[in-house]
Amino acid sequence: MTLSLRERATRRARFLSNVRAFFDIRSVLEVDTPLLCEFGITDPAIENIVTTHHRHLQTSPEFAMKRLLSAGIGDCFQICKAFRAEELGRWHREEFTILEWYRLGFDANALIGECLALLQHLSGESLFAKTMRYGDWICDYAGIEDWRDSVQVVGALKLANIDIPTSILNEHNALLDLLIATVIVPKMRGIHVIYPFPEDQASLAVKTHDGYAERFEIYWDNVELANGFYELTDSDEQLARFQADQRERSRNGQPARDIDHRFIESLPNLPSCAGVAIGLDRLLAKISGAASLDEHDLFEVGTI
Amino acid sequence: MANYSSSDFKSGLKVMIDNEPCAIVDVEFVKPGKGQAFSRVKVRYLRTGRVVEKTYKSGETLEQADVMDTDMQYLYSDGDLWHFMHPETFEQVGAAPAALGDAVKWIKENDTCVVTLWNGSPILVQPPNQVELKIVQTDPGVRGDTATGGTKPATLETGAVVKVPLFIEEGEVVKCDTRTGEYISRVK
Repeated sequence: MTLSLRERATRRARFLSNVRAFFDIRSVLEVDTPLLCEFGITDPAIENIVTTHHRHLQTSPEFAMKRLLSAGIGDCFQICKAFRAEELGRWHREEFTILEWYRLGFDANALIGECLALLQHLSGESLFAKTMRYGDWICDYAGIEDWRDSVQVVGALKLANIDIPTSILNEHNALLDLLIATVIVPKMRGIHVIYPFPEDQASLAVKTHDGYAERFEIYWDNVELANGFYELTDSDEQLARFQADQRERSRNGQPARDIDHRFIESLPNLPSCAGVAIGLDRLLAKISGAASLDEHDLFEVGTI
Repeated sequence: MANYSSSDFKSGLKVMIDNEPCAIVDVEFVKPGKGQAFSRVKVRYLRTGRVVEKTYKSGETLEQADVMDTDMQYLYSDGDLWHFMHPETFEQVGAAPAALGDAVKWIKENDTCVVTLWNGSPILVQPPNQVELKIVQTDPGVRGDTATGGTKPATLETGAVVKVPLFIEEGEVVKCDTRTGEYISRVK
């Protein structure tokens, strides 16, 4: 199925207005935050595109939106471009369209419910979602007993004939990432909610007391669509996590990233809330049954 | 030689892997959510033709291989080496049998071949996709049996054996596809 340019643009426009309608009836306010900012992101798995005068194109509108929430703006959503350096593939673009929203008084479960309602609203289908804890997800799909055991993870990769870079043999989380990308995700069909995540992958989520964090991801078949948190509001802990990111960046020889001190300073005023980001290009592709992002691009990759 | 970073990987690139020159055939970028990114690369070892899948962490590099495909004219074989000449510079190179592989069965003097040079030495010779060669041996044809599509083996002047239709006679010239090893047509 090849759509004309006009058809692709029309489908995209209708899709975006459906997203806005979903939030409009829920009285969630649309905001429009700056994308070119002084600070980037410390997360070692994500690289900013850095512009002149050392300014950073935002990899998501998270910090700016949370500052608005801390300033009392209330429930809000945003549709904007996000930029991540050197991510380009069948399901990745360096510049992509992100939907991000925050709900006051929601916990992770309430927000997962709203994500699924959005998917249903946009696809017009009733969807069944399977929720799995991170560990069960890995073990079930990779056929191993203990996902914390590197020997078993390496064994599952070797069984699937996946070449393992020697540089990650001692990095358990990188081994898990390779297992997820090459063995687990290709087998997934339907909607999966992965929740909760292990605490060392908490990112900006609240940690629970049992070694897990209030973070979730939603997959549609083999495509990761959403990443959400019950949001951490403890500025000391957030600062410590960012500093740990910086040490890891330095160990890996990655570019240093300064910590957004204005974001950290705003956190104590962040109301109890849950937030999530969804890749809209991917969602549009999945809703229309596309096999990659290419089918809805208005400009072909390599011609921009 | 320059290094390619994982974000530069694309099909067609010639790189060094385990000290062997390789061609990248396919690249897939994978990255779970907030996780480590990898490039999954399918590469062909140029000498052996073996295709393997390799994984590179984002940011890892591969050395560029000094590999060049050049059209060259086959001159002669002295038994040890097969000699080729660049049609413009008249530069000559001698290729070992391993570099020719099955190509020896298809080429004759003055044919233009694609010679892959690594650091200036030939490592791979590809014959023209289609060649016209004389049949030096085949059993006599059976007249009137053309409709059944029957075939018989025929030995060509360069040594290759191809299946030809029954009506083809010894001494005739036939056109063959060197990639599939199949007969295409009779050349009048």
